[in-house]
Amino acid sequence: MDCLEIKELTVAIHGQRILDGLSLVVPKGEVHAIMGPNGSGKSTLAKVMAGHEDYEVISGQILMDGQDLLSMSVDERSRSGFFLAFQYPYEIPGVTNANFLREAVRARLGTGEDIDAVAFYKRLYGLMDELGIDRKFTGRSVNEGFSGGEKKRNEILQMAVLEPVYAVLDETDSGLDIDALRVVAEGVNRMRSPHRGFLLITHYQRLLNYIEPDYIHVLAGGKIVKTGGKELALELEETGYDWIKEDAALAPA
Amino acid sequence: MTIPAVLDLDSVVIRSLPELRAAAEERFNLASWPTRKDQTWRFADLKRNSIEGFPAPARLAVEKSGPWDAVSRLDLDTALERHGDVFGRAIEESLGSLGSARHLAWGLKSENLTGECWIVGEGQKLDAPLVANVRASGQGHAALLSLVWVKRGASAIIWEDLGSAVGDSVFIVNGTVVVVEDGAEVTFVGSQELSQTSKLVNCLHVVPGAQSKVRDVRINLGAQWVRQEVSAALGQAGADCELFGLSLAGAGEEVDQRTLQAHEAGGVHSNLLYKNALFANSRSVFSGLIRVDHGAHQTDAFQSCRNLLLSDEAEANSMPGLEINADQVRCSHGSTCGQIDPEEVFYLRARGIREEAARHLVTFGFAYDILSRVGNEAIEEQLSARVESRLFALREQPVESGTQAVNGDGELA
Amino acid sequence: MDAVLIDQSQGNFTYPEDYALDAGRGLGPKTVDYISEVKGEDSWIREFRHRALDIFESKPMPTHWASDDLNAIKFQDIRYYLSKGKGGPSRSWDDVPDDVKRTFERLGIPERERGFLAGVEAQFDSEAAYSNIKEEFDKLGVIFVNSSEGLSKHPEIFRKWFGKVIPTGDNKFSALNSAVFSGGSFIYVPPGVKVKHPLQAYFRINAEQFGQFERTLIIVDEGAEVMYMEGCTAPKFETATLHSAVVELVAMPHAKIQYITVQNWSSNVFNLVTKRGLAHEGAEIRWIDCNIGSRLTMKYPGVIMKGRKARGEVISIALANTGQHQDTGAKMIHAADETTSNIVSKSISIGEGRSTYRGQVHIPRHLKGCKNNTECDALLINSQSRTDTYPAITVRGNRHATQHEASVSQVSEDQIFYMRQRGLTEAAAMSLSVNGFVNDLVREFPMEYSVELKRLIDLEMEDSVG
Repeated sequence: MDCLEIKELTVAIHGQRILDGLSLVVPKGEVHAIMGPNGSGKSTLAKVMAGHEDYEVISGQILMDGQDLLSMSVDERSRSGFFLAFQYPYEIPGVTNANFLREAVRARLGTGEDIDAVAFYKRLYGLMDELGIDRKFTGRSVNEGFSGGEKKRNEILQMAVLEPVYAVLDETDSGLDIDALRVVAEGVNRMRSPHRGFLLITHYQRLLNYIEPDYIHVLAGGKIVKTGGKELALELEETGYDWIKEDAALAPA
Repeated sequence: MTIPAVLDLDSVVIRSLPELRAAAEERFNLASWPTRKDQTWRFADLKRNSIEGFPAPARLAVEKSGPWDAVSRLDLDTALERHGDVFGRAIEESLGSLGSARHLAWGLKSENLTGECWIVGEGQKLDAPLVANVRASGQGHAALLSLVWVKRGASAIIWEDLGSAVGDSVFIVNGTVVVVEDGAEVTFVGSQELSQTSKLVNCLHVVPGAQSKVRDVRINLGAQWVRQEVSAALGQAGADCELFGLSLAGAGEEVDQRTLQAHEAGGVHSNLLYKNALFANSRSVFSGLIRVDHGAHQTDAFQSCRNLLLSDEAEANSMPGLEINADQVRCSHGSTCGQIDPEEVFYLRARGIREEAARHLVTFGFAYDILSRVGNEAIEEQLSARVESRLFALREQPVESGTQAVNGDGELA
Repeated sequence: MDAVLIDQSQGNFTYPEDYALDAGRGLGPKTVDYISEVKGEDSWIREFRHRALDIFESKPMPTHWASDDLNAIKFQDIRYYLSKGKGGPSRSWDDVPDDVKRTFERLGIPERERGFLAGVEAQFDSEAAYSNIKEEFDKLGVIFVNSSEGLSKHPEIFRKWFGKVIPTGDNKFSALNSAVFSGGSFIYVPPGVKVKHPLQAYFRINAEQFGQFERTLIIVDEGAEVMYMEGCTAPKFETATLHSAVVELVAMPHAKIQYITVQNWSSNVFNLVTKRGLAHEGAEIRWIDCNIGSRLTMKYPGVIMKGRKARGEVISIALANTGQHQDTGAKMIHAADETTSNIVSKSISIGEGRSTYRGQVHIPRHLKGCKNNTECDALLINSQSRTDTYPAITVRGNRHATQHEASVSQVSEDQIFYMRQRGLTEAAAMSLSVNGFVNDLVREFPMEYSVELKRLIDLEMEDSVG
């Protein structure tokens, strides 16, 4: 309990296995990071956790505070406290950011309840200011015409509005310059709490300079092959991922 | 009235309401109802356009709001007497020229033809929209003719909204001519939410002047059958003409849209964007032609039709067309048919929004794209609310399968 | 026989002719009987022809949507069956117009082909080229014969599909062809055989081969593949003013057929062709078409995707010069789940030429996962040319995606200026631009054609500029 637990997860897409017995535990109050070479299955893990239909779960479990996540629909998972910051956030033309967020918040209320519009906007604007997002963005269509950095910031804004229990950030740092990265990291750090767990998925070590993880896991060959403290990131930066691949090849299947 | 043996186009002038009616009577007799061979009715379900079942006259009541005092209003007879040269040609040649000549003539010759001429004076810039709510009642047919003249340097927003009571069945023929002079700006919004058993033939012809900005936004939220014809005579350089359309169709409904961007001279920019969201077993037909005449160089003409199919029974037919006779032109058209993008829905659901609500949001977004082109917040807000309720109502509708849509084209193996 | 007088002003010429077999002018039941007799056909074929003749006569000209120019066809003046036998039309090389000779030169047409193309020789000595390949085909079980042989010697293979992909009553001109067809290629490829060499129409030239009413039927069995090429870039001298061919393709499951046509008929010819393919599960049919000649070409290659995951594609380049109308397009009928179709059409209008695109895409309800992509672009070279685009897309149901885009543009003046500043003449600059416009499509043609195509476009451009 009080953790996000992935147990022996095996996942395939188009008949090809990507994750092969992956196990991982992210307790509340901690920040974990997963690093790995390209194609190791990092994004697959994120999408499977969110419930994307393209992927087939062959075996394994994901428990969120004891609840069976895999048996829940995409939106149920979200309302239960799971949040995924996408690597490539989608554009939704014609749907404004404000509308979108209002609907998301409304979806979490009971039937008959409605949002206090004034309170909602006050809070939203406050969060936007903190993240350095122009208030005018509320009237723009979700992610339409946004730069890469703006899209990532928008993901963090949504996370701040929805206050999830467990948040998975999928390569949130990709495509960001130093300033944008700093803002995004601050947003995440502000949300760190004993009641919340984070899983950062990243290829480069750079993000972890700004968001200090408690543990780092290395994903290769579809499973976690190494776990360590934050120094592991620097090691990987220096040596690259090749030795991991060799290790994985030598390890018993 | 006799028709001259040689039709001298420059002298096609109708000088009175009786003359208009007589000309319509003549045209009605010479024309015939559409058949499968008519290219202007290709893909249309030819069973739907029949005027039978609407013999009696229905009532049309018009309620106006907005700065109408600032505008000159003439009854049709006076308008034709004084300004027959401005409107005559458009009425005779252009209205109904995209295929519904007989229907239009039927409307114009009927005894309960109502309508007015609105003239926005030179340099006059209206600060609020002119709104005309037209309500039809009873069972039968009615016809409306609106002649709009926006003079040099003037600017106005006009919203004509057609509606009827839920239980009524009306067949409305609605003709509108909008003549815009040099440097004037006009946005014309034509919306309709007629009852589910009503029919509408809606013909609009715009004539933008040099350096003018003309925008037309058609919104179809009702009626069992709509035949909408929009033509723009683009013969004055520097004109900028935008044509928008949004149709939400439900069970048993058909929206038949034909448009013409006629670039008669060079230096004109035109852009058309029509969107259809089709629920249940509804069907849409879109036939849009961009025609660039000889010598109409430096033309920029664009056209796009987007169809969102929301049920397995819905059907969209698109015929975007180009006829280009000049060079130094930039013309393109595009048409897409598709469903709600599952990735968009996934993204929304990943934020906790339930599937139904997510699909609703995306569909609303699709529609809002057109509403946001009106450029007037008050109108946009009102229309948004109506579109929302319409979308809710359409979601609830059962899909009526078994109603075979017959199209005007021979079918193949 | 009377000398055939052809309008000199259209760039053609007179010459005496001597035909061994001639059905005479005009079309009637006697013409059909004559043709059937001469070929010694089985009675079922003769009946097929007669039924087709009735249908042809009952159908009106499709001028309610097609060009009025069709009304210029004088059916009663046309000879519906001519066989050159051993002699054939002969004229001397001196009679061949200079510009035609120049074209052969410029296009690099081999000497031995020039005579045939110019109508100086009746036969192209292709038998030698073919006989080598013939052995290989025999071993593989590939059948490659003309229509008469196909129907008489291999009815068990061909009769099943003959007239099924394109029914006689499909349109007025398919009915005409069904009544008087002669020549053309009948091909069968057995299961699993992937034919390496492209089959070429001219391998099988005989007295009738380049006739007016060719009938082609290609059946490729499961998992097999074939590429077929017909036509050539050089202007083809033709006496006949009406060409109405029918091409039927049948791709069995997982088969692949590529049919490549380059058409450059002389400018007095009405070229009205009906081409359609039937693709079964997992099969693919590609039509690759280039239309440069003729007075009026009407051709809308189509694919009926009958089996799941079948694929249809039409790649088309059309060039219309003064006095020409290229009216082409594509017809994609989706009749199974997850089928995809792709249409890319590029047309160039020069001088007073007119090019028209007509497309039809049809996806009926209760299917899922179908996709269509259409791109049609037109390039206008100068202010007298004309281009029209008339696609029609019908989609039923919410499980498909179609996209259609068309654009019309000119060669950019800035582009031309830039190239001229680097020393190119205006004509060379235009050629480069135009070749750039069609480049990605030209690459779809086999090597032999693509080089010639580029040169031909250059030639056409030269005449138009200045």
